[in-house]
Amino acid sequence: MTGTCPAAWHLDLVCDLKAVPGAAAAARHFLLAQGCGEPESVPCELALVEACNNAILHTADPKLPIGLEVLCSPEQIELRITDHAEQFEWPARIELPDVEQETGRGLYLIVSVMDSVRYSHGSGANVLVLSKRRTA
Amino acid sequence: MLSRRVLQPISDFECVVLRFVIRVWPHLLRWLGACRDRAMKLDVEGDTVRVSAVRQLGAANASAFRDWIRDALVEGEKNLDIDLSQTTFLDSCGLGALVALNKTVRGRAGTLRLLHPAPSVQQLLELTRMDQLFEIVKV
Repeated sequence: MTGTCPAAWHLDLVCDLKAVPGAAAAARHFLLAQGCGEPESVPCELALVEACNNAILHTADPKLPIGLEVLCSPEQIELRITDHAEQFEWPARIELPDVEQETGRGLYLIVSVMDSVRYSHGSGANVLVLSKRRTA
Repeated sequence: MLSRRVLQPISDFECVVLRFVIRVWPHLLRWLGACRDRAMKLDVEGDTVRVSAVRQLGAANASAFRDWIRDALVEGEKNLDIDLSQTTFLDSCGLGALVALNKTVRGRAGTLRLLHPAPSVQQLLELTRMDQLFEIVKV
């Protein structure tokens, strides 16, 4: 992110799927408080939910929390999700599965509602960075 | 009397109670949320089962939701109406549960309808082409 220092929100999310909706809603409220509209905050909430679900389902250590960070500047919203997955590889190509398939839509939703997606592997932790340009 | 009570400092006992409430409040909210989930309603009208008061359908409760409805269907009940008018949260796992239930009712020669989804839920259904699979009844 460039320009003015963005407003930041941070949360350590326990590895519990039940905690995800509340955390994502809190992130959305933060974005609304920064002046973001529903067309910006709702997709970010959805992307955050899908990313958190993925991070929890693939974590190598359920005792370690998932790190959530939301940065909001006048130009851009950035979501950072730090997970502890060992075996998860971000697919090179993500497509919507057949309508009859019961799984496999999460990553598609993330790339559909966000403008850019970047997943970096680190030592013991990985970071998923999702960005969305703000509308005027 | 009320204004006099507000101006007085709280007692040690009240302080202990306040600290206890602050500590348990997040757990209380989760418990209330679980109760709220279990408050989903299921009604039967002829051969149609109608599910309402679905507030959240996500990774945490999607499998339970699917199994609860499957177990509730008895012989002769083949159609399923799921009222999404109160649904504020739906993710890809929730969609998966709806797809699974659609297969269940199709196996009974019935249909699944999604009723009155909120605009954000409707957008999600269209984005994932679920509007090609389900009959969606809008407001």
